[in-house]
Amino acid sequence: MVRTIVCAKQVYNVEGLKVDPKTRSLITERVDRKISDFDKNALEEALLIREKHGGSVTVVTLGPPTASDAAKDALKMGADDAYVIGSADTEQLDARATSDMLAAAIRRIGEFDLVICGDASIDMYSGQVGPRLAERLGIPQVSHVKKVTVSGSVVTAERDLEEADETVEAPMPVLLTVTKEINEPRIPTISMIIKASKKTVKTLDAGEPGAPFATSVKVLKALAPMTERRREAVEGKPAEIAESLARQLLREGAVEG
Amino acid sequence: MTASGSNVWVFSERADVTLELLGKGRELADGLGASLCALVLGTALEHEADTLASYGADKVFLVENQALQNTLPEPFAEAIGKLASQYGPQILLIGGTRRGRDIAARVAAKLETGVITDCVALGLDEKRMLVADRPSYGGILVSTEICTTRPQIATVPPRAFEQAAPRQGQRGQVIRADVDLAPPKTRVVKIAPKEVRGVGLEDASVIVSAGRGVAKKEDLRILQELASELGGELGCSSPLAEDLKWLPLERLVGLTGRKVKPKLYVACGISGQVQHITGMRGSRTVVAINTDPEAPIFQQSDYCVKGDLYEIVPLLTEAFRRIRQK
Repeated sequence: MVRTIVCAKQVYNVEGLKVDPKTRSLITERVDRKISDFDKNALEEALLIREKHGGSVTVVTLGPPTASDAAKDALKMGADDAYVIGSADTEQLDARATSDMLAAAIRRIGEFDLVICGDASIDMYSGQVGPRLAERLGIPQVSHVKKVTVSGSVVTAERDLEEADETVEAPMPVLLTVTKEINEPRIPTISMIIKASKKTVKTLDAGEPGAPFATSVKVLKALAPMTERRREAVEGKPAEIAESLARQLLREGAVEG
Repeated sequence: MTASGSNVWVFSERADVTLELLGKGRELADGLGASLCALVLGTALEHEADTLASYGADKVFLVENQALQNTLPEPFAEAIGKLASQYGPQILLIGGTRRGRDIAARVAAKLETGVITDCVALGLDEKRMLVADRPSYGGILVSTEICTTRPQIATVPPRAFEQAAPRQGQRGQVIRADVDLAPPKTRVVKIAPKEVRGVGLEDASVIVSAGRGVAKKEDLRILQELASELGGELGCSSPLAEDLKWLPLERLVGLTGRKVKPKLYVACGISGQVQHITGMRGSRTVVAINTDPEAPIFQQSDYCVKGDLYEIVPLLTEAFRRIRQK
């Protein structure tokens, strides 16, 4: 029996984002939100572990009321329980506040054997919440995991590092962060969706009223980078274009002569 | 606690990255009028500590402990956290490898501070606080961030900055620091080094990239010939790798693929959505070939060819061959 907690973040679908060329800022209107990709892998891995060893899968997500959609999606995939930790403005939360809130919430939920997070969220990609949460919970972590086996109370995990694959053994409770190579998240079937519709998303307060979680990192500005390009039109007949372009690229050293 | 004010500390488990951090760390330390310290953690690393002392570190803290035999995040974070609590650095730069980012996170949690990750630019503001630029939303935005608590921790990806040069006639001091560390709960049972691949897209000096303007998979040959003529590599935009699967993901340039910086990037039949631009923005010279005169790629190009890639690309290959033979 393995009691697993999965942390999932609701993010914008970054593939649908556009930039306003005048203000250089992000256009988020009409962009859908979803569970961050690797967090879905985390949930899938928790479900696979439950299928093999029994136990439970509890999903925790943080955020505004829209985050309950992410929690519902997790129930559709097969999570036993899903909690939304209320927070008015998740955009202002940094990894410090996020991990502190998650740690407080997880302690309230109860005992666990495993915590699984995605390697990083696809929007901020800082990869800080998982390891910080492990530190806060006082447990070891194994990050960048692409393969997991559970045997008794020991987890063996293969880590995908830049220079090597590293296999690590860790006693439970332990926190894992997983990569997208670890599995292919299931797509809920109609019967899974019907089953999930009988469950409700639970809400949870992480902190004490009036005591906000401290943040450290503040975003001063976030703008699309501008690269000034020459935007020179190369015109003529195709053969002339090719000739002058090749000569110009050789002249300026873009191509070695 | 020794009040040492505004020191800059650097740490990476990789010696080459530590030298890069010393290069950037020197600039910051000079800006603060502070000293620059490198941390060396592990077993049998005296030689490395000596090297760093001659590459610009004013002080090198050397911690040798059996708990640091493998680069596991818990003991490394414990060692750095204890030293930082004792000496109170203002800035801590950590090499942004996968291991380094894990360590940074745990150190920050211990010290109740924050980490700005993947910093591509670092500087001091008017209050002499560290301010850093990092990509967000997969590189669509560059976010300027500040860490308001101390130490201000930042992770810096490998190869983001030049390595420090040896300092003539100046040697830093190597200080052995004894730190009590708990034995790690995790155990490394196997390390399988990865095979080094051939030239990846990140290292290519020329990339010829294909988009939806290429009608059939077989036609990629036309682009491959240009790439081969220029000693370059073939790349593509996301539809070709993710939807049509004409090319493997390792050739995908963009938000969900590689971030490249060749000397020459030739975008053939690529419309130029921001998700693609994110991957090729670092290119020195960009050529776009597209039949659609309104394609956004032309806004992001140095040379704009409003024409048919099926006509232009083979002629371009031939032109290079002819001119370079002379």
